[in-house]
Amino acid sequence: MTNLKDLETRDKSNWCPGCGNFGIQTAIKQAIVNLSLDPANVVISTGIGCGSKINQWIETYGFAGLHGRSLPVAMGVKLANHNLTVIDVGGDGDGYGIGMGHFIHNMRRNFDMTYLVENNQVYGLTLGQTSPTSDKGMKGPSTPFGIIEDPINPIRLALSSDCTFVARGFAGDIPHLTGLIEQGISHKGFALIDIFQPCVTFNKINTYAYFRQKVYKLEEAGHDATNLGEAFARAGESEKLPIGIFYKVEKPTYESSDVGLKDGVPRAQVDISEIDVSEVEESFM
Amino acid sequence: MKNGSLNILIGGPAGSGIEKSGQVLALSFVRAGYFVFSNMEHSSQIRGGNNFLRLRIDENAHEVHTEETDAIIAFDKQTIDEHIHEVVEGGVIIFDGESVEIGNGVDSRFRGNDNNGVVKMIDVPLKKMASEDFGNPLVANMISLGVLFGLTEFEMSVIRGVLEKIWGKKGAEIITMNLKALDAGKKIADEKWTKGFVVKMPNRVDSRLRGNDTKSGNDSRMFLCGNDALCIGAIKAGCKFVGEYPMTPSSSVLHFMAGWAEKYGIVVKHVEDEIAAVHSVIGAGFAGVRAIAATSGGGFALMSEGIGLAGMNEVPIVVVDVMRPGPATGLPTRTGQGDLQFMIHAGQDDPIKIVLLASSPEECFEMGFEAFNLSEKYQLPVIIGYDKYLGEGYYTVPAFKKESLKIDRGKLLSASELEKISDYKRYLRTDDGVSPRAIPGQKNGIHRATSDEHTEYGEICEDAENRKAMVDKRMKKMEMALKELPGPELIGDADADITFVTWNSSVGACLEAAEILREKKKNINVLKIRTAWPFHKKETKEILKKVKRPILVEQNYNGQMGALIAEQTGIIIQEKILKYDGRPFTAKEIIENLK
Repeated sequence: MTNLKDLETRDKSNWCPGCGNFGIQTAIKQAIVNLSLDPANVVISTGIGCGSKINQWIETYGFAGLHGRSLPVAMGVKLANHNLTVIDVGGDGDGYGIGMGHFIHNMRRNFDMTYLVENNQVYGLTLGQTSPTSDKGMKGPSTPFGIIEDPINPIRLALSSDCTFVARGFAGDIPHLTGLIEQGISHKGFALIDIFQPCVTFNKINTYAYFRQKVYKLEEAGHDATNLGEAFARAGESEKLPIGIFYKVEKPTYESSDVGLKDGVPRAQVDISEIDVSEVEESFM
Repeated sequence: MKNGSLNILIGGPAGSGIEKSGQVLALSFVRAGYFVFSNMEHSSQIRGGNNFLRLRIDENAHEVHTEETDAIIAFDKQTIDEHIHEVVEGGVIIFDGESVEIGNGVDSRFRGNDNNGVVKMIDVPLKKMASEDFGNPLVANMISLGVLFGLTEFEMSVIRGVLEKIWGKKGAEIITMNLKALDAGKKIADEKWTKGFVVKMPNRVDSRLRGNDTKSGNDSRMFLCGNDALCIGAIKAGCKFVGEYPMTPSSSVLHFMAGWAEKYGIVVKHVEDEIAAVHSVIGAGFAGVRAIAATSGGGFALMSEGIGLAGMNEVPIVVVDVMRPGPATGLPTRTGQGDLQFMIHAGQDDPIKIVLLASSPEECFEMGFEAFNLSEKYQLPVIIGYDKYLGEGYYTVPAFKKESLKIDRGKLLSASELEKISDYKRYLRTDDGVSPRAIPGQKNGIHRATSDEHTEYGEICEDAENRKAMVDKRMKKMEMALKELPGPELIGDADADITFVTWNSSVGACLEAAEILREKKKNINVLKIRTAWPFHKKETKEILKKVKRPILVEQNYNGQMGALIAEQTGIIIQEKILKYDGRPFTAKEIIENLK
């Protein structure tokens, strides 16, 4: 039995009061507890950004790496030991900006891991520049006249990248988000959960009030999460913003198909003390 | 020209089967008891251009090619034009006059089919024979090889086994056809040319090898390249994860490991770029698996930040840089030693890494093995650097020495050891700087590996005192590692008049140059540098202080090893033989540059 107290760290978080990351942190912890996961078997991989500090304050194994590179680290961890629960957490700059290539490739690989994107539509840690998901026209120190390009739509991107679990949550609705994270972790494959995460310091547009007024739950709207076309249509909505599972499908995971893992034993548990290479040497004779 | 020693050049456009032909020749001679050294010079294109492969076949082992050629097999005009001057008196050029024109570059004395020229032009209707007699244009190459085997009176019995090895999967019919094509070529040689060619290559196996250094008779020597040797070392070391993006001349590491992945249970991932490669390797290393990424300079540049990350988070990883000339795309398929300073300094701030330099296939194997021990003992990235000439050059070597190799995982904690620790600190400060290491999945070892400066627990920390202590801790590991890293090695007479200071494949060329000059009563030794970082200041300085006349030999413009030695020891080597045209040194070239 894991309880919430087991997941507390020596350090306390240092986000701005009211930051959406608190809600996400609470939801991750609650999901771990609800799924009875052993914290020693959980790895949270992060990059750089306000939200990437999240694994500093959850008492599981964690790897805090470089900006945009959390997913390749998570891939290495998963392939080294597929018995671990691998959760990757990063911001929109991390995953949809600098790490975009890794994001797309890891979706098509379908590792059994869960990717949470704290999408606050702004760069917080570097003091308020616009991000790849900022609404068109939003102003920031790098775009004083308003951002010209259209924002990335991560849900549509995931749907067209053959992501096998595509969902969106809201940091202001912790019970709902907890449920999504639980389902994402339980899903055998790559689960993307994009999360509306209000930045109380730098984003004065996409606030808690803004989201509370706009979000609605897909499961309450009769959405069919097996219908890719419907998912794609819902992902394009902007007047009202759907949260919940857009799309879900079962496919073989990468690790279940790799010849190097044919015996099913995690590589981290293989005895390497006596390896006979004579067959390799003979191939050169 | 002498019996038992044969230098061959096979040249033609890309896609003309040069490599396959070379493989048949090389393995045949290796199995007959010869040492074969082979290197390929090719352009960065898949079809066309002009590629050539050299084979240096001898009773003794060589680690460098020579341009003095006994026989050329030419599949295009360019091969003849560019290399005929390298053919020694009495040598031959085998070509198909119906498809390969002899250009104006060839002196009239070479023309015609007579047997009296300085270089004999053996014109064989290869394509016609292949089509008319065998109904398969692909066997033209085999006919040309047959001519060569005939000229040297090579015992054909060895060849069947070689063909079975190379084409075994394609079935007996293919092998029989190729054998017949070889015989057809041999017959042409026997009819007209064999008597006039002085180099004979008898089978040496009976007299010398059988029952001696072999366990299976005549085929106990390997014919492999530096990249292959490195991979064997890595497999032996228990490497179970490869994250890589293809880049010439390192790609064969990826292919090799992928080919053996199933047999040895290795996860080999061709990822989206070198950034993903190094980070996936870091993830695997963090989770307790020995992992490697091979690349060349451009990919290594993309890995730079990740290599710093592995140093900061104290994750064991192995990265290989098979060097080609840069910067940017440079010369993709050529050789160079221009990444020395880059390998040391890749990543911000002071380097936290070990950089090893291999100079032979044996060292590729040994370093390919030991790098994993070092990376786990000192919990840092280990870089192995060598040039394309070694990476893709083929050598004949006995099975590697493995008796003394032991897996050492350093302070990796067992479950029972962890159980006894009440307050686990991943970055515990210790006397040797190395902290006991727990991996995910282990109870009682939970921690965060953090790229920000961190406390002993791994918590982000900006405290000045902590920062200094943690830098000191990481640098302490470098100091400890230096004690067991391979130091500078002086090869030859300690009292020599001249010392070549060199590294990587240039060592082979320098050793041969020294040997040739010894016959001319010049006493030369070679100082081989095997570790670039951390640097053996004291040992190198001691050797160089006693040396009479050091000459730096390396393949880059600035003399980067010379700069490193100057920086680390204060000794400036004034004389330099530097090469940066993308082509490898020969012994002759070094001798010519020696004033």
